[in-house]
Amino acid sequence: MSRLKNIFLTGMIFIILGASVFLTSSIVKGKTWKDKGMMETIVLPDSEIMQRASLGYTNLAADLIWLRTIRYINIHNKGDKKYPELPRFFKLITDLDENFKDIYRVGGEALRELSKDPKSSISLLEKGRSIYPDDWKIAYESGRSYSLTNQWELATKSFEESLKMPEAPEWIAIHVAEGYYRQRDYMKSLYWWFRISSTTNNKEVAAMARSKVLYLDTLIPAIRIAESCKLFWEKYRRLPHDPEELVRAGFLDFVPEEPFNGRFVIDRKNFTIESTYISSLLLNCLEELSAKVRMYKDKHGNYPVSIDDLKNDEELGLNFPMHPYEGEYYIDHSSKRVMSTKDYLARIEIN
Amino acid sequence: MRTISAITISTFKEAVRDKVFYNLVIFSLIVLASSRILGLLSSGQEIKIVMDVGLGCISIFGLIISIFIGGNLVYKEIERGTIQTIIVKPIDRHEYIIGKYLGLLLIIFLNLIFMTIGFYVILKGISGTWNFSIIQSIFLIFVELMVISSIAIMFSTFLSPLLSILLTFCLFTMGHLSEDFLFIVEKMEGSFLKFVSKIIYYILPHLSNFNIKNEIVHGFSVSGDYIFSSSLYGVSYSFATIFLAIIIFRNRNFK
Amino acid sequence: MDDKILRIHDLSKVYRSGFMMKKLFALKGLDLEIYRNEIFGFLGPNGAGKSTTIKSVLGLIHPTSGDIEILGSKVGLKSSRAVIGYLPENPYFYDYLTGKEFLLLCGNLFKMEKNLLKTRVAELLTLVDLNRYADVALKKYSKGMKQRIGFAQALINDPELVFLDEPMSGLDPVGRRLLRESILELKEKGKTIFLNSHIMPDVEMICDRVGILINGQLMKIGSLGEMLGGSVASIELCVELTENCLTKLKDYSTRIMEKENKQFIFLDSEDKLTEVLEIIRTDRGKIHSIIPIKKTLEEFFLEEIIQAERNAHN
Repeated sequence: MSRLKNIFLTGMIFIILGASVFLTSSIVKGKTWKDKGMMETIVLPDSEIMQRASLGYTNLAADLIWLRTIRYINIHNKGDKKYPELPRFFKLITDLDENFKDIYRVGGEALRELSKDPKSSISLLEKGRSIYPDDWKIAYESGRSYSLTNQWELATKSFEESLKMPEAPEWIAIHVAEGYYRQRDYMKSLYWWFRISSTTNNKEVAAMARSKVLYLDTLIPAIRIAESCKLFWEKYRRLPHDPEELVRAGFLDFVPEEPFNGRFVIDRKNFTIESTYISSLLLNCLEELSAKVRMYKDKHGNYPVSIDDLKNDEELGLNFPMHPYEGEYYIDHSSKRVMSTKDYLARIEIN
Repeated sequence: MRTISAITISTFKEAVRDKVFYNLVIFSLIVLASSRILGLLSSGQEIKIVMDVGLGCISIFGLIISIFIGGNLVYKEIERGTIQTIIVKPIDRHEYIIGKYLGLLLIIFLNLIFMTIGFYVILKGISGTWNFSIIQSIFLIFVELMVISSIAIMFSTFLSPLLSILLTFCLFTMGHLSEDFLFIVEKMEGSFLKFVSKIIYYILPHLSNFNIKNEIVHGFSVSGDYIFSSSLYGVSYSFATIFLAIIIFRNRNFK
Repeated sequence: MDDKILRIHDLSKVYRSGFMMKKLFALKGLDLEIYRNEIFGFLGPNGAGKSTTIKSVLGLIHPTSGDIEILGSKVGLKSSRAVIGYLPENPYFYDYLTGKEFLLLCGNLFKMEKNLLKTRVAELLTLVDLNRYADVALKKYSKGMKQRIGFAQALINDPELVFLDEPMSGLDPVGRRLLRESILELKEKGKTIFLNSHIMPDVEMICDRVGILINGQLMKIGSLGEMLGGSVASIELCVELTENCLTKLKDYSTRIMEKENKQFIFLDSEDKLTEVLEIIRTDRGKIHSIIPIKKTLEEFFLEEIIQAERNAHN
C-alpha cells in the first residue's frame, strides 16, 4: 500500500513540476531581447583568438557560428530588419573554415541584400574567389555586388569569368551584355546581345536579345553622328542639317546606314539624333499601348494608374511591346495616353 | 608477452565493466545523433554539420577517455595497493606499464569502433557519402589519442589523478598551439631563453599533424605519404613517452 | 644443501623527508636469515620497519643499501619472485574482475601452464571456501572474503616462501583458526612462512622462530622457547585461608583476589614462594592449586619496547 502511495506522490510531484515549467515557459516564449528590455549584445570572439581556442576543431566552431548567424538573421528578420553585425559573422565563419564554400555565396548575397552592405559583400566574395576560383556562383555574386556599387568594369569581368567556369548557366551572358552597356562599351554589348540571341533556346530571352541588338545597331552609329556633330558645332557654332553635311564637311567618312532602311535625323532644336524607323516604331508602340488603355477602361471601368496595371492584366499584358529606346512608358493622366520618357537615340553633348 | 597480454586484458576488463564507460559511450552516441537535428537547423548545410559533429565527437570523446581513464590508471592502483599483488609477481616493471598502455588503447579503440558505426549510420541516413578519407581521418584521430594516452599514463605513474588530468590537458592544448609557440619563440630575444624554448617546442607533441578533419569534410584528399609520416611521428612520440613512464615507474617505491 | 631460504644482509632504507631533506632511517643495517620450512614471526610496533623489510625483499621498495637473496637469487631479478607468494596488508584488488578471473590473471603472470592453472584455481577456491563467489566481482566481496582470495592468490604458484603481512586483521575467530590451520598445513608440505603480525596469541601458537624489530633494528631473534622459556612471570595460588593469614601475606603478594570462598594470591617471583608456603602451612590453610604463569609473548614484547625506549634516551 505504501509503495502505491510512493508512486502516486512521485507522479503528482512530477506533474506539478511539469505544469509549472510549462506555464512559465509560455510566459517567456516569444519574447525577443527587445521585450526583455536588454540591449542585444553580440559577443563574437576575435577571429584570431577563436581559431586558436578551437584547438583544431575549427570546422565545428565555424558550423556553430553559422547556426548562430542563422538565428541572428531570423531574429532581425522578424524585428527591425537591420543586420549590422552580419559582416562580422561571415568574416568569422570564413576565417575559421575558409573552405566553407556555400557561405561565400550565401554571405555575399545576404550582405548585399539584407545588410545593404555591398562593400563587405565584395570583400567576402573576393576571398571566396581566391579559394574557389572555379565556382561560378561566387563569381556571379561578386558581379552582382559590383553592379550595385556601379563598378561596372569589375562587374562585367566577374560575370564573364563566371560564364567560363564549369556548369555556369548561359543566362549569365545577359549580365555580361548589360554590364558592357553600362560601361558604355556598346560594341561589346552588341556582340554579347547578338551571341545571346543566336544561342539561347529561351523564346523570351531571344526576343529581348533581338530587340537589344536592334537598338544597339542603331545606337552605335547614332553616337558616332552625335560625336561628329559636336566637333562640327565646335568649329562652326551651329549644327549640321543632316548627316550628309557632316560627310561633306569631313567630320564623317560616310553616312552610317540605318539598319532598318530608315534615316538618321539630326534634331537641331533638341540637340538629339533620331532614327526614322525607330521613331515610327515608338509611335506605333505608343498608339498600341494607348489603345490598350482604352480597352482597360472598357473592361475595368476605370483608367489604369500605371503601366504595371496594364502589364498585370492577363489579356492586355500579352504582346506587350518593348520600348525601343531603352526608355520607359508612362501614362499621361490628362490625355489618358501612353507617353515615353525617352524618344531619342543619342544626345549631342555640348558644354 | 603473455604477462603483457594478461595485464592488457585485465585493464581492458576493468575499464569496460565500469559503468562510467558505458554511460560515456551511450552519451557520445546521443550527441552524435543530435547532430542530425543540428543539421536541420543549418539551412542546407546538413551534411557538413553531421560530418563536423561526427568527427568532432569521435575525437572529443576519445580524448575524454584517454585523459580521464589514462590519468587514473596507474595512480589508482598504487594508492589502493592493488599494484602490490601484481608487481611482486615475476613481471618486469616495463611489462606492467606496456600492458596498461595497451589495455587503454584497446578501450579507446572499442569506443572508436562504436562511434564510427554510429557515425556511419547517421551519415548514410542523410544520404551523405562515406569514403575512405573518413577512415583516414579517424585513423589519425586514433594516433593522436595514442599520443595523449601515453602522456596521461606517464603522468599517472607519479602524479595524483587531478594533476595528471590537468597536465595532460595542458599538453593537449599546447600541442595544438605548437605552431604559434614556435612563432613566439622565433621572435624571442636572449639566446639562452630562446634555446630553452626551442627545446620545449620540440618536446611538445605537435598534435595539429593529426588533424585532417577540416580537409576531409570539404572533400580534399590527403596523400598516403602524409598519413604515413604523421603516424610515424605519433607512434615514435608515444614510444618515447612510454619509455619515460617506464623509467619513472622503475624507480618508484611502493610503500 | 643450503637450508637458508632467505638471506638479508645489512639492509638499510633511508627516507628524506621535509624541506630540509632530513634523513629518516626506516631500517638500519638489518641482518636476518630465514631457514627452510620454518614459520617465522616478525614482530614490532607500528613504524618499526616490518613492512619496509618485507617490501624490500619483494622488490616493491628499492633499499638504500644491503643484499637480499632468495634461494640464492638476488632480489630484483624476476627469478627471485617466481618462488614466492605474498598477501599484502588490507589487500585491495580490481573491482570488476571476478574472483576466478583474478586468480587466473595472477597465474598468467607466473606463466603457468594453462591446464595446470585451471586446476590450481579450482583447488584454491575450494581451499578458501569461495567457490560460490568465484564468478562474483571482487567489488562485492566482504573484507573477510578479500582476505581469503588474497590468501589464495598468494599460493597460486605453489611458492616455496610465503609472505603474509598482517593476515589475521579483519578475520573473526573462526577465520583466524582456519588461517592458522592452513599455515600449519603449508608447513607440513615443506613451505616456509614469513609472518608479520600484531596479534601475539596467534604468533605464539604457530611460529617456530620470532624476531622483534624496533626502530629499524632487530632487537631480539630466536625460537619462542629460547625467548620465553624458563622465565616465570608470576605464580598463582588458589587457597582457602583465614583473615589473619591473608593479612600476613599482603606484603609478599602483588595481588589478592576473592572469589566465592577461595582466594587467589599472585606472587611476582618464585623466590617468595617458599616463604609464603611456610606461612600458609603454619596457619593450616588449604591449598587448592599452585600454577606458574609463564611470560606471554605480548608481555615479553612490551618489555622489549620499554627497554628500547630507555636505551634510546641514554
